[in-house]
Amino acid sequence: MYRPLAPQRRRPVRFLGEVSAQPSPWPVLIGGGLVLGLGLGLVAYMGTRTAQMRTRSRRLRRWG
Amino acid sequence: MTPLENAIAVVGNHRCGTTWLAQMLAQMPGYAMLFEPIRPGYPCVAEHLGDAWRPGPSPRAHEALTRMLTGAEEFQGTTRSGAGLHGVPTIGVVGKFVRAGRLLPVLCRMPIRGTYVIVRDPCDAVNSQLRVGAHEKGTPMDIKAMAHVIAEHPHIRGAVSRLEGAVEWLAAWWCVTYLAVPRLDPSLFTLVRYERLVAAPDDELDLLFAAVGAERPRGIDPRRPSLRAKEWAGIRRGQTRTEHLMSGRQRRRILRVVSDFGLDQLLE
Repeated sequence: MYRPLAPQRRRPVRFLGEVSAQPSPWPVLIGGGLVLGLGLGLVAYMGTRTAQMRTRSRRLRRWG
Repeated sequence: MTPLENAIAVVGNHRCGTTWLAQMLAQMPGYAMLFEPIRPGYPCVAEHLGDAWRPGPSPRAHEALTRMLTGAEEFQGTTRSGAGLHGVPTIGVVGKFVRAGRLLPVLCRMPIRGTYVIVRDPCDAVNSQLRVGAHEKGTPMDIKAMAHVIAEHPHIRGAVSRLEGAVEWLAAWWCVTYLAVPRLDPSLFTLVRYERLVAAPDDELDLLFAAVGAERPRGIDPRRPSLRAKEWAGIRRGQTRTEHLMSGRQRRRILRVVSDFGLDQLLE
């Protein structure tokens, strides 16, 4: 039935077959999380490797 | 007469692919296209919608649209201009309207199967209209003809008073067709981009039919010229792109009108 339009109210338009105006944030969040996680993992791994090498060289120096 | 629940409406501006889209939809079994029923020649149009160039929503519009979309007797058979039912519907009617933009708030809330709104780039649409001589076929180009639109959408008053020349007036009527679009719940109708339908018809057609819960009928050839394209021989679909046919100034004027009417959202 007829209802007058609210003149001030505007909505974002959505065309058939087009993605919505505001894309989902999830792909970016997941991608960012992966990069950050892998980066941190690598730094941590390198850190433990350095520590291992230091311990090893110290042990070798002391005990031969 | 066929049930109103099975009816489908196609709304869009002149030269925006309404006939093409409606003809494809009407290929569903049991459907027939109703071509441009909003014409002064029909008694129920004169009685309920009046003789405005683009009739506006009113409580009486519902009755007129119901009669059209159920294939009432007065719309059976076509007139010389092609208005009326093309074929005999047994299941439903696909109504194709270039004059129903302002009736969209009524149409899309009716208990019908679906409403499609097809939008084509305003520069291309105006250019195509100029090529077929729409500016010489009675399109009103004075503020009086738009008074009822201004009364409904006061924010366009300034834009209308600045309109000059056929190009800007045709652009303004393009805007009038789509003024209701950003003000309605988008789930009430399916908004179709003409350019997408030209560029990727196969993908788009599957989505189009899915929107009314139907399977795409076999044998639809989206590349076939529509009824209107045949009539205006020499114009092929997509051929009236404006890059080479309109001056930059004309394009800027059209885009300014669209922007003044607050419809930038509809541009590609």
